[in-house]
Amino acid sequence: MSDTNMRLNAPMGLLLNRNEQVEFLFEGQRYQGYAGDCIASALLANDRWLMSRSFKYHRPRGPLTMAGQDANTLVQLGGDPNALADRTAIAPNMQIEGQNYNGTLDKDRDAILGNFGRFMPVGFYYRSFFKPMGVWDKWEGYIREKAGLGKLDLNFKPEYYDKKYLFTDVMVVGSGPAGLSAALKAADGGAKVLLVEEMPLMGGALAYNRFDIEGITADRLRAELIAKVEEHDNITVMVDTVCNAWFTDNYLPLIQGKRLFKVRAKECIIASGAYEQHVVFRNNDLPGVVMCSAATRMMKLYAIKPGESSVVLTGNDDGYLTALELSDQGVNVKAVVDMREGVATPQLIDALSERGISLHQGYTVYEALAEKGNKRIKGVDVRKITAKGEVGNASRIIDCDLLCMSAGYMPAYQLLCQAGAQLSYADELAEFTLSKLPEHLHIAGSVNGIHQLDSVVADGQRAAQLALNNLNLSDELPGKVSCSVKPNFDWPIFSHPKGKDFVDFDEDLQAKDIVNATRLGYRDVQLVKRFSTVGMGPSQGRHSALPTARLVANSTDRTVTETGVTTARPPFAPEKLAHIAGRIFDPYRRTPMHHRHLELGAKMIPAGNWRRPAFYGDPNKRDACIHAESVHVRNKVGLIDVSTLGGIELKGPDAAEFMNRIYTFAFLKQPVGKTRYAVYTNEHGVVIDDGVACRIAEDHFYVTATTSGVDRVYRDMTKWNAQWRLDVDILNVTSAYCAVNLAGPDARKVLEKLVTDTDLSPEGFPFLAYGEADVAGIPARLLRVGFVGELGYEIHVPSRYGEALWDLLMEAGEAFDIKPFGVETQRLLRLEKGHVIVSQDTDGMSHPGELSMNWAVNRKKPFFVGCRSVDIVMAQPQTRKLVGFTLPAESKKPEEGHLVLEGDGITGNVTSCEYSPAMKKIVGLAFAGINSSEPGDKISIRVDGQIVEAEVVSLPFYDPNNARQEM
Amino acid sequence: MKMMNCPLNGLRNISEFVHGGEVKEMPDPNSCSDKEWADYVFFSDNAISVVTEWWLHAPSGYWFIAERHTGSDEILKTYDPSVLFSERVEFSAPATEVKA
Amino acid sequence: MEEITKNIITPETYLARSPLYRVHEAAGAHFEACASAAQVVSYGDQSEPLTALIDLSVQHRFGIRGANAIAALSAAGLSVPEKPNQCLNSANGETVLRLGKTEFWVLGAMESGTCSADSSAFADCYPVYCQDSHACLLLSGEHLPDIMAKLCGVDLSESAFPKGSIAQTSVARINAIISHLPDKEGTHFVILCDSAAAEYLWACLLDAMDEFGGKAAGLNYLF
Repeated sequence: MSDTNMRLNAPMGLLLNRNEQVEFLFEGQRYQGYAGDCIASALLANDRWLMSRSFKYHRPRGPLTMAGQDANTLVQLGGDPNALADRTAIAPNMQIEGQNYNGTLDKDRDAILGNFGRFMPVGFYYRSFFKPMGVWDKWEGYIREKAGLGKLDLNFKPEYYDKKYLFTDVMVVGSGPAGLSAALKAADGGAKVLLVEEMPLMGGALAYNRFDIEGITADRLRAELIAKVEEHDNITVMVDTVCNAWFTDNYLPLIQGKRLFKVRAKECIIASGAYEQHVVFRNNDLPGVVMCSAATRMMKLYAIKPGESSVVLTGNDDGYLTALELSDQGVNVKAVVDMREGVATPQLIDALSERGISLHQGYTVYEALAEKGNKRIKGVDVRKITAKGEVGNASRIIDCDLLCMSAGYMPAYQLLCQAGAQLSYADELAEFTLSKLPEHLHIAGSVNGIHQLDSVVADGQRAAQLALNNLNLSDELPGKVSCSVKPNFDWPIFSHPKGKDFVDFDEDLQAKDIVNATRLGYRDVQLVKRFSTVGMGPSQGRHSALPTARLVANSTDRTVTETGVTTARPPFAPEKLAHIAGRIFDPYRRTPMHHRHLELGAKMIPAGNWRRPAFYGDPNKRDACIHAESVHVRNKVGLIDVSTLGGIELKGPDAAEFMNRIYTFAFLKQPVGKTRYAVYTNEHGVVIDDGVACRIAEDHFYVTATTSGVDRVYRDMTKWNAQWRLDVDILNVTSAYCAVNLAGPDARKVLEKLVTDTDLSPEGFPFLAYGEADVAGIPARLLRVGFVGELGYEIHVPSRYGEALWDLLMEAGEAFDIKPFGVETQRLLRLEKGHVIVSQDTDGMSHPGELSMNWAVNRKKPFFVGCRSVDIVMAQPQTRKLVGFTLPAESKKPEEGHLVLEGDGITGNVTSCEYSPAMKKIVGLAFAGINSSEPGDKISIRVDGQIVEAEVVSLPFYDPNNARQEM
Repeated sequence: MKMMNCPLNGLRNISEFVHGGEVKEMPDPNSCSDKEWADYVFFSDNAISVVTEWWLHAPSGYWFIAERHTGSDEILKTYDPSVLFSERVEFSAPATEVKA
Repeated sequence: MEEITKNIITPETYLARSPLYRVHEAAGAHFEACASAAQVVSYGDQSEPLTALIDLSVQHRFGIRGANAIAALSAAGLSVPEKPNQCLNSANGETVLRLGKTEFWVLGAMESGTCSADSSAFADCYPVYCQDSHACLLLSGEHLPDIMAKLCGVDLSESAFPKGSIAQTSVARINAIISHLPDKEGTHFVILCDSAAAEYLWACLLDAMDEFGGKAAGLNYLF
């Protein structure tokens, strides 16, 4: 099909490139449009008005606003549901389908639902299928099938979306006459300006609406303003860009294509305009019933002749101007129906009569008449208004294929209300107005209730002046702007006994649905919304909010201000989760030996944002790998990467005093060259971290912290010293140092091959010693530790040497059959030694007494963090204790978290449990009631619903005299 | 997103900061009653008023003090902790038996 | 055909290695000896990209802090930036970063990759081990503020972040220190980040640069 003959001549069609034809498919049929066409305009050019089926009654729907402000043109784009056909540009070979029909878009078998409308009031589904119990489950699938919107492609391929910040002095939302003049004024004043426009072209209403009888002002002003904006160095323009929210301190998300821009604006001017409002009458949803602005958009932006013969229904002078525009473009305007009486500007009346257009003042359209199947309007029933919302019996039928309507305007208040602005209804204007804006947010143009073109321009300049003053770029007083035009008709609602007088097109809600909701007791507009779903559809109340407020106010005897509208939350327009997700930054950290682990076949597991080897070998043979590794460490020698351990360095005259205040143990007299266990309690007396403190020099400590706890400990330390003012420097060296633990009976022999400057003999470098050594050219810190219960050295080196250190040790250990071991193996080894892992074997209540760590708490010193709380909780009778337990190897193995029971009561839970190859038994740690916490006591553990009786034993399980680690 | 003025780094997104709780005076842990200590550890006034709080600028590891109105969430001023804490704090009392 | 006799330097020749060397090797980078380690000098025969990301992690740097730091720097002939979050070049080509009232980091001159001293030479100051705690990346060329705006919430445009400025902020959700190098033609941002997260940030930066024709490069890009 070709559409070239259907189009109006230039200068109509501002968005079109008539040199480029674009072919696309709609419902399987091939169509042609021009580059620049939206889907809707391209279909209209092919005389296709029916574009979708309504949500509930499956009524045929066509364009209503031509601006993406309604749900009438939602279509399916491949796997993408709910695309706005009047906002989405066509592209070559685009495949477009209608939505929400059974059969075909043109022959929807479910259209019959509309005939049952009166049996399906609001809440019908939930009320009807609620009882008997379970019936909803049976019906839900069927009902959802009937009511769904679009289809999701579950096999979608993720696409590349990202985010970007933008910084500006002034951001202007909307490029209509107010926005353009505000941008120019602000830029002239020296501000950096970002001008954002939702449509593909600037100008707002100047691009499509007619502002004067001759029809020249808009084009002239638009050209003039845009030329100035485009050549201004201080202004950046973004078109096709939606500002989707206002957040605190002018943080404004913009969506353009596949990118979400996060704007930070010092000042923001909202010139978002106003939404033209519909008139409520029977069949006001038929294809061919459009907003006045939709008709002018069709003509000016897309060169579409919207109909052959038209009626204009209006409550203001703008409808007259629309009639003139239609007439100029060759549409036979049969009548202008003005709901007002004797208000219209005389020159406009004259202009109509010059063109032979008949005028009916004080009349309205009572019903739109349709062709069979409701696919297009074929005429209107015009009646005299006799009282508010009521009409006479005399009916006059006018044939037409287009009805343009304008009942007035609703400010695009969404962003402003998100910023806390107050919306109130001015009864004399029948219009909502906004007030009480935050300090750096301004408002201009029709959203501010200013409708006359010259006043709109002045209002933009006024807002810009306020912004300039806030930016200290000017100190002039902003001028005062007022408006004498009243574009809103008070009561453009004409209920029909047969209904289909839609208030909300998205949700198929009729006037009586709103009134009925109030009669059922839902007086609050928020409750009316939730009960009736008014305003919940894709257009989010852009057209339903005002008539709903009026209807609710009227039927509950309140003012419209009292009734108000529902909250407008972000996002302003639908946005994809992909926009919010963006690039998805998920930081990860790697130790210097990371790639060696991969080469050695490690099974990596997360540890915070680190990855650590769990064990080396077949990932499906966890237990076998761990057992083999543990036996190897106990009998020969193993190497583990412990670089993720936290490290904090304390240096200065008060280093020891500071250690003494942070950790529970005494550190003032810790000898240089020795390590000491360090436990950290918070102010509640709960153990939250532990580590090993090395005294490098009188004024120098190096203390380790747990992988997950180091950031917290470091922050606490720096915060405490911001108060204490001790002379100590606190440095987080976690990433500066990496470390390995070389452990096993042959550990010394391996290390001796690489260290020549330090005596590593048991006497020269005994258990708990600290020293510095040269490991084959690498400067290292050596700690004799016993975490896994064998002779062992923790070797800490600057990170840059980490991989070389690993290589040297593996090479030196070759003769001793050295093998790497993973963190799961290390956990088993330390469990055999009964060592606690803070946060695995402790919880948010564990004080040192419960963990049998009394020995590590010094109460002779004046202070440590949490000392007073430790005193208080330890003075109370203890109720539980962390104990070691064993079970025979063949017993059912408890898992972490399994409950310890005493009768019906819970006394604790298992915190760690593994089969120990060294002990040939199951060993574990658990919190037990204080009465069954002594060696020899029995505890009952519930394992998958079954009770197993475990024996409490003294710790450690393995090598009770610690002979092996002290070799 | 809200912004906060860091005394060291200037105006930044609030996501760069970590809240560190209200600035509270610690009662003498060696002589106060259990109740005084419990009040210090567990209770917060939670009043609608200007509160003085610890904030950390995480990327630079810098702690500072902010005065914020809990009603309007307006941050009135921010400053270096040395304004409030200029003296070295000592805990000199000997650890003796503490009675509740 | 001429025989290649030149010894090929690989990062594993040295004990000290960049946390990113695997990434460079996988991309076919060439290395040369620099500061007792292997410095990437080029990425094969790629043409000069509009914007380059260069790994300077193996180059020398050190940090000092404490009440004596300012006096000690001056005594050593190094420049002292007037305020925190500013950087300044010294006569010997080293760049001094002032990160706090009394914290300074010194970056070696890029051509040699070495510093004339290290923190052990400043006995009355506290050392900061930024050589190992941080990786050092250089972003150089066009569109730097635009590239960084995809990763970072601080305005790094020329007017808000002129030469000599430092921002300690969050980049792609990790902490980083961004310095706009002074006294150099063109725009150069040095980015210091957690050395353990270097591979992560490297990938994020390359991704952000891609739309502007940015690519990984070696030290030769600068000279």
